[in-house]
Amino acid sequence: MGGFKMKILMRHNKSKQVIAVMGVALLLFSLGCSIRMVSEYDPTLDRGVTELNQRTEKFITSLEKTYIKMKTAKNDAQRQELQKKLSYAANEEFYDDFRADLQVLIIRAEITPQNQLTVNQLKALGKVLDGMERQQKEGFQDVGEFELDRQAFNRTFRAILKLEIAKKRGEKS
Amino acid sequence: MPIDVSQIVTQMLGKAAQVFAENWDDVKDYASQEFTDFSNSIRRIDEMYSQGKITESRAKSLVQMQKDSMIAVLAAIKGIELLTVEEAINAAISVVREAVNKAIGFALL
Repeated sequence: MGGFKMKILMRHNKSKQVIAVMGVALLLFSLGCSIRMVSEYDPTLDRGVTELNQRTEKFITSLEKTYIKMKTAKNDAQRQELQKKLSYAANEEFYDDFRADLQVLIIRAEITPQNQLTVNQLKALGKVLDGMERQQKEGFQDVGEFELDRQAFNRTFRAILKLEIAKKRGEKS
Repeated sequence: MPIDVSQIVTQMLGKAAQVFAENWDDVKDYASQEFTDFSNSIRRIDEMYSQGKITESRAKSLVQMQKDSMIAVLAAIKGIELLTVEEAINAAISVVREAVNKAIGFALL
């Protein structure tokens, strides 16, 4: 009698084990066997941000050089010509193009699952651009502003690329 | 009185270490570098304003740009933290996968 009970108990325990294993298996299947808390690496976004970074660096360097030339200009005519080059009207295209390209990247990031942090980073980049645009509309006041603009942009670009490259997984950069 | 960059960076790192407690070691170097860079920018703006090179309004605008850039930095730190958590969970799942396959007797997972 005792042996029969033991057999029943063992069979019951075996069934519980199988159910537990199947439960874990189903859980893992439902998770796709691994989880993703952050989106996959996106080479297109990486390239797009790197390209914006290059354009921005060229733009700021060009403005900085023009500003220095303007401050050391030998006559009013030369000064006025350089001032014109520094005006918002003469550089509006840079802001329009940057904003258009950035918007494309934001939409791309938005439709990618688990990518809200990158979306926030790209929107922060847009705000940095807004800040520089405001400066240029009002007129630059000191040569030191260009380096500060460069620092704000570069810090933002570094952060976006830092996260994007980390998404490759297995690479702690 | 000039801004003490090292004091600001220490305070920022202290706060960030509390927020990102468990995975702080993964992002500490990056955060330290960016907090230092940010603090140097703020000090430079303060100097330019103190020397009368820029207006108060421009100083505020420049500070806002630096703050906006830090949103991206903090998002990067948060993302790297999540990736570390993800890696740990997937490593744990991998252990379970091995156990399940062994128990079942074939490569189920």
